[in-house]
Amino acid sequence: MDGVHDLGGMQGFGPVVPSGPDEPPFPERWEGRVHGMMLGVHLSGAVRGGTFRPAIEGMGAIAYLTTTYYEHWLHAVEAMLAETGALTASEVDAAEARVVAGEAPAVRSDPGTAEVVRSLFRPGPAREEETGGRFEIGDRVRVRNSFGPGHTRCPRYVRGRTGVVERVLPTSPVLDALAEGELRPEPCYTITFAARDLWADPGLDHTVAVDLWESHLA
Amino acid sequence: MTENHRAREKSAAQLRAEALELALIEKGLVSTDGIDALVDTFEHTVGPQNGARMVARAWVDPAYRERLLADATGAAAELGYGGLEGEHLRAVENTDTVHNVVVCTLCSCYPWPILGIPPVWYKSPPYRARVVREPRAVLAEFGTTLPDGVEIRVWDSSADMRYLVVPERPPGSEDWDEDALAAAVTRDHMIGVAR
Repeated sequence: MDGVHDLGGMQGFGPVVPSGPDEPPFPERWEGRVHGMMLGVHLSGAVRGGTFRPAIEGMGAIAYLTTTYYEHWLHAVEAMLAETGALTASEVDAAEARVVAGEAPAVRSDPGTAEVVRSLFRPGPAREEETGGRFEIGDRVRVRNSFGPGHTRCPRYVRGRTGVVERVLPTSPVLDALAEGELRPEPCYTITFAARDLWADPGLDHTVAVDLWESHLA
Repeated sequence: MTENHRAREKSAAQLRAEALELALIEKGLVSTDGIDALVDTFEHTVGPQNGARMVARAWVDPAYRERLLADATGAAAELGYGGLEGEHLRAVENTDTVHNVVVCTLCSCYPWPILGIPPVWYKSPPYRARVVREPRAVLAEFGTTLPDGVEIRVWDSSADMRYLVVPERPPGSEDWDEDALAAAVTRDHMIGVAR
C-alpha cells in the first residue's frame, strides 16, 4: 500500500528524540497488554497471519501520523479481529462502557498458552533453508516501479532504482502475498544501493541495503 | 474518588486496551497469564543485555566472532538466544572504515530476542524517514560524529532478516573480562546510532 507508513526518505519530520538506555519496554502498562494481546490473538487463531502490518497500514494517514506506536497496534488488533469476525467493534464498545463504569478486569488462566509464549523466545531447531533464484551476489538488479494497492514490503524510495545483490537470503513466503492469504515462497536478496542513486541531496556518500523478494525485482 | 473519576484519568487508548482485554478474555481468545508472560519476557528476560553478551563474546573469542558474522542466528542460539523476530539474524561489523546503522523504514522490525523492544525513537517517523537519507545528521542528533574516511552502511529491515551491529571494541579494554565488555555495549551501539 502506498501509505504514509512508507517513510524512507520523506522529509519534514524534524529531529529524532533520543532516549536513555533505561527506557522501559512498555512505558505505559496498557502498551504491554496490547503487545501481549497481539500475540495472544495470533496464538488462538482468532486473526489471520500476515494481516497485522496491513491492518496498521490501513488505519488512515492522518490517524497514523498523529497517534502513538501502540495505538497503531491497538487499532490493528481490533481490525484483524473484526475481519475474521472473532470480535466486533461493538463488542469492544460494550466492554469499554463496563470499564468506564469501573468494573474489575476479568481474569482467565491458561498455563499451557503462557508456556507457549515463553517458549517463543527461545531458539528453535536449526533448519536447512533453500536459497537462490534468478540472481547472484554482484548482479545489478532493478527494482520494479509500479506496485498495486495491496500490502508490500518494497519501499517507495527504491522503486525503479538499480542496486547490487550483496547477499542471497533464505527463500521465504513473500509478505505481500501472505497479506492476501497466499503462501508464496520466493527467493529474497539484500540489495545495496548508493544513496546518491536514490536522492540528489549534495554530498551523499553512504549506501542503503534493502531486503527485497524476487517479485519486487524487474 | 468514584470509579468514573478514576476512569476519566485514563487515556482513551488505555480505556480501549482494557476494554479489548476484557472482551478477549471473556470470549476465551486470550488468557491473562499469556499476556503476563509476554510482558514479563520483555521486562525481565530478553533485552539488549543479550546482544551485548554476543558482542562481548565476539570481542574475546575470534572463532565466535567468525561464527557470528557467518551465521548470527546460530551464534545467538549458542548463548541461548533466539525465537520470535530472531529466526534470521545477521551481524554487521563496524571497522575503522565502516559504520553500520539499522532501521525499519516501513514499521519497526527489530531483533527482539537479542535486543528486546525497540526504543520509541526507532519506531517513530523522524528516524524511519531520515536515517536512510541523512544518516550523518541523524547520528549527530545522538551525539555521534564519525571520523573522516568512515563509510556509512544503512540496513533497512524490510524482509525477514533482523540486524545486529557489532561495534568496535573500546580502546584500552584489553584487560577487561567479558562481563565488563558486555556492560560497555549499549542498545544504541547495536542499532548503530552510537559508535
